[in-house]
Amino acid sequence: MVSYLIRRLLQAVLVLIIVTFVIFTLMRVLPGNPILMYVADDEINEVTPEELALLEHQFGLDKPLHLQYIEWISNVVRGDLGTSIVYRSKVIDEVSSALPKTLHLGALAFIISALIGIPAGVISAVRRGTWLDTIMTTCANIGIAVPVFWMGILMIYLFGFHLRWLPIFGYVSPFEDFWLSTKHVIMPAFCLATFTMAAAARQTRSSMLEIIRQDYIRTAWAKGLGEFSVIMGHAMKNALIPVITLMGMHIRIIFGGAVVIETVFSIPGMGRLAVDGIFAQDYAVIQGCILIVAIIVTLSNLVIDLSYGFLDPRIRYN
Amino acid sequence: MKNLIQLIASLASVLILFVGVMPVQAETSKYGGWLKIITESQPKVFGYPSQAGHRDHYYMQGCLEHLLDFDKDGQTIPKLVTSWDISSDKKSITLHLRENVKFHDGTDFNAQAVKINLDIVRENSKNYLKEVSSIDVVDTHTVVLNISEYSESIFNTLASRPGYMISPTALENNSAEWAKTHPVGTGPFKFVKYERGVSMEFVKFDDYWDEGKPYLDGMKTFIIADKMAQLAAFRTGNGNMLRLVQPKDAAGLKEEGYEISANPGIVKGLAGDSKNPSSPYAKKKVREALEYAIDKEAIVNALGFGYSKAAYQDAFPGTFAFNSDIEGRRYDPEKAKQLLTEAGYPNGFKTKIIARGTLWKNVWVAVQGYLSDVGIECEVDLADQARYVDLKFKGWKNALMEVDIGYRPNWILSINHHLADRSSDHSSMLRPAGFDVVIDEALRTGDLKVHTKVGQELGMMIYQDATFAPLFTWYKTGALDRVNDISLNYPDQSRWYPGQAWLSK
Repeated sequence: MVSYLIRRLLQAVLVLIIVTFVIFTLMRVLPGNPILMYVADDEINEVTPEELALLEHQFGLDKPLHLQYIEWISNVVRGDLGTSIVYRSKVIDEVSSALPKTLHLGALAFIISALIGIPAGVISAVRRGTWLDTIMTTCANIGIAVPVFWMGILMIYLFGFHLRWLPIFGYVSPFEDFWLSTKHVIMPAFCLATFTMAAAARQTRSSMLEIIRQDYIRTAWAKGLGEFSVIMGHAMKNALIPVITLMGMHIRIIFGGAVVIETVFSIPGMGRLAVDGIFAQDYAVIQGCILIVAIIVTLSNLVIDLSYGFLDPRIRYN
Repeated sequence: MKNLIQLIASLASVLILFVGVMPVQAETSKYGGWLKIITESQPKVFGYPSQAGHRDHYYMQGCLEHLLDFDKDGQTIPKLVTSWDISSDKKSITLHLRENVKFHDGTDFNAQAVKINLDIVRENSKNYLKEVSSIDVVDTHTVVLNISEYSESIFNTLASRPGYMISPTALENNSAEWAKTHPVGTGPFKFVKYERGVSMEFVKFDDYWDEGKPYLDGMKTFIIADKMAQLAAFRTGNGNMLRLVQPKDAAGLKEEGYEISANPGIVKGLAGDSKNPSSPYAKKKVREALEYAIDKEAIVNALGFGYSKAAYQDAFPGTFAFNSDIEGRRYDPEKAKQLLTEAGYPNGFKTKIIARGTLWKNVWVAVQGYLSDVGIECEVDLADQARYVDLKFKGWKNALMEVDIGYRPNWILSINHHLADRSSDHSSMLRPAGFDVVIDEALRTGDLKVHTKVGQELGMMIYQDATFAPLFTWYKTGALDRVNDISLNYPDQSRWYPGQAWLSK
C-alpha cells in the first residue's frame, strides 16, 4: 500500500511537471504581448521598443524559455507562483482568494451530482422499463447534452429574473451568511452538476443492470431478503466501482465547467481568474491556476484509486 | 366682512407656506439612498493615479477628485484648483488651491499634497507632465509649476487621471502597492471595500467640501461579466445604473421605460497598412475605394438601433473639430470598382480585417460582404485583446485594422492620442505629411478658436489622404433607473458625477 502510494505520488509529480511545461510553452507560443497589457492604456502610444524590452527584462520574459521555466518552477517549490502582469499582485494571493470559492462551488456540485445522480440511476435500473425509468433516462440524456452556459442562462432567466427566487450574480461566503451563501451558489452549483449528475445516473443504471443479473443477487432474492437489503447491501457496492471512477473524472469536468459558470454568475473563483488571465495573457496567473487545478485533480484521482481497495477487497495495491 | 378677510388671510398664509415649503421638500427629497451600479469590467489600479489605466479612470470617480475638470467643449474648469495664472514668459503656472478641503483620512488638502502627488506622476510617467521641470510650494494653498516648454496639455493632464489627488499621509503610512486598491481622496464618497471581480463599495463622506453634497448615502458597484446576467440583474432591480449597454439592449430597455443615457463614445473605422509600400493600402485609390464600397448607412440602420450614425470623417458630429466642408465618400460600389481598376486591382485582392473581440462581429461580417461585392475578398480575424493590442503596436500586414477614436470633448486630444504619427498606436497606418506639426500647434494653446481651426484642418488632412476609413459613430449608452443628474459618460467616456446624483423616490 505504502509503496503503491509513493509510486503514485511520484507519477503525480511527473504529471504536474508535464502539465506545467506544456501550458508554460503554449502560453508563450500564442501571439500577443502581455507587457502591452501591463502598460497603462494612455501610455501605450508613447512606449518605445527599448522601454518594452526593459519591462520584459523586469518580468524575466527576455530569458530563454527553458530558463524561464526552471526559474518559475523553482519559485513554485518555494511557494511563490509569481506576479500577475496585469494586476501587479502576487499570484498566490489571487489564488488564495479565488480557490475557496471554486472549491465551495465544486464540492456542492459534486455532492448534488452524487446525491441525485446515483439514486436516480439505481431507481432507473431497478424499475427498468417503467415510466420512472423512461423519465430518468430522458432527463439524463438531456443533462449530458445541454451546454453548461445555456443551462446557466436558462436558470438565471427562470429563477432569478422571472420567479425572483434566487440572486442572479455574486458570491457570499458560507461563514459570512450561510443562508444567503446557499442562495447564491445553488444555481451555479446545479448548473455545474448537470452533466456529472446525468453521467452518474447513466453509469449507475448500466452497472446496476449488469449486477442485478448476477447469480449472487438471485441468491439474495431467493434467501427472501427485502428489496432494500438486496439492492443496497449486495448490488450497490459492486455497482459503484465504475461509478466512483467516473465521479473521480468528474472533478476535472467540474473545474472545467467553473470557467464558464463563474463568468456567467460573476463568481470570483479560479475559473474567472483563469479566464481573465487568458484574455490578458497574464502568464503567471494562468500557470498558477493550471498548476493548482492540476494538483487537485491529480490528488483526487489518487484518492479515488485508493478508495477501490475499500469497496472491493479483491483489489490489492501490491 | 371680517370673516372674509380672515378667510383670505388664511388662504394666503397657506399658499405662502405651500409655495415656501415645496422647493425645500424637493431639495430634501434628493437625499438618501444607495446608488447600485452594474458594470462589466473590473478595475486594476484605482487608488494610485500614476499607475492606473484609462479604464480604471471610471472607478476612481466619486472617491478621488482632479485638480481641474472639463466642460462640454473640453476646456478646463476649476475643481480642486480654483484659479490659475500663467506667467508672462510662459515659464511657470501658479495654481491656487481650494481651501477647507480634507482627504478622507482627515489630512488637509494643501500645496504640499499637490506637490507630492504631481511629483509621483512626473517620476512614474513618461507621458504626463514632462514639460514640468520642478514644483514649488509657495504657501499652504499656492503651488507653482515651473515649466521647460509651455503646453496646453499640462492643464489637460491636471483635469485627467494623473490629476487625481490622493492623501499623502495614507500613502506614507502604507505603500504605493496598498494605495493601488485603497483610494483615499477628497471626493464625495469614501472607499469602503473592494472584492476583486465582485463589488466595490463607497459611503458618503460627511466632511466633503461642497456643502450639501453628496445626496446619496453611498454607492455600490457590482461587477458582472456576462451581458445577459447584467441585463437580468438590472431588470430585477439589482442596479439603478447599467454603465454600458449594447445598442440593441439599450433599445429594448428604452421600450420597457428605462432612461437611456447616450453620449458620444467612439468613431469606429478601419485603417490599412498604408505605411507598407507593398500593401494595396499604400495606394490612395484603394483606400478611397474601400470607403465607397461600404454602405455605412445600411450597416447603421441594421445594427445601430438609433445609437449610431454613419461617419464620413474622423470627428464626432457636434464637436468643434467637425468639418462640414467634408462631403464624405458615400456608398458607390461602381466607383469603388473603378478606383480599384485604376489602382491596378481590377479583380480585387485578398485581405483580412483584424477586429478586437467579438463585440462588433456583425459589423465586420457586413463589411466583409460589401468588400466582396467589389472584388476584395477578406477574412475576419477576431483577435483577443492581447493579440489586438500587440498587432496595433507592432504593426500588421496586408490587412485592415479596427480603429477606434475615443471621444474627448477636446477632439485635438483624441486625435493626438490615437492618430498622431509619433504615437505607437496603429503603427502601420500612414499619416498625412506634417500631421503632428499641426497637432502641436493646437496643443500649445487653450484657445477654442485655434482648436476649432486646427481640428477641422486635421480632419480634412485625414479625409484627403483616406488613411483612416471612418465607418460609424457610436453613442455610448447606459441605462438608468430613477437616477438623476449623474451625467453618465459626459463630458467624456470615463466621466460621471455621483457627487451630484440623486435617486427619485
